Amino acid sequence: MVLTLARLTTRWSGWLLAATCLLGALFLGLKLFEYSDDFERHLVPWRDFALGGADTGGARLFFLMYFVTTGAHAVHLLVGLVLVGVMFGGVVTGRLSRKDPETIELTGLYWHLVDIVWIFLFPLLYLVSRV
Amino acid sequence: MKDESDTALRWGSTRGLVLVWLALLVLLALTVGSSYVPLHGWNATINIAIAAVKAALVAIFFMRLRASGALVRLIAASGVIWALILIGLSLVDELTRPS
Repeated sequence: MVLTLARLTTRWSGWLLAATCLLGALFLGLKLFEYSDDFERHLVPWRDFALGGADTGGARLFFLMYFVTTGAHAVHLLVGLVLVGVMFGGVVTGRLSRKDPETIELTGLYWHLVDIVWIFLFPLLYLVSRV
Repeated sequence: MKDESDTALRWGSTRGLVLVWLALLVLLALTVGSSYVPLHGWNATINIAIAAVKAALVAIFFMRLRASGALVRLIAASGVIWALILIGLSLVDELTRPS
């Protein structure tokens, strides 16, 4: 995303925005695949939860947190995809140009904020208890 | 060309941005790799520390804090401090619970 701003003067910018959109959509697609797997394995705490036993309370809390945080992140990513898509349209049609990088900059700031959220969520949710 | 150098100053050179991205990938490999090594309860701490470094790289280079004035940096820092206060207070219950 930020590369787009550095290369805004060139015809690369449109392709870079398109690539950003594609990679974001790929992430969301993988997330949907992951959610459907969670549903099949009964890992949704409010729907016939599979993990019983002594640790069921902690497991419920973990998966509740998992769905709330990844869900909130996915919604933000969806908003980001729409924004980057609009920027792509603007650059391709020439409505956005080097004269007003502000619009694209704000989109970039938002995109990277969502990025930072995932940087923390990934180790907290996916790398715990691997040892 | 003046415009070209202005752009490089504001957003960083393409080469620099790619280098930061590569550094992020190295840190990602480090955090994934370390999570498979038993480190006597330090795994989570190390993962959070690596995440903090990655977030700093993104904020400084991709979100342009490097080229921003003191006011913008101060506001960015205040956001981080408030987030830490909120998360810290949320953890108070769990951390002070008698085991």
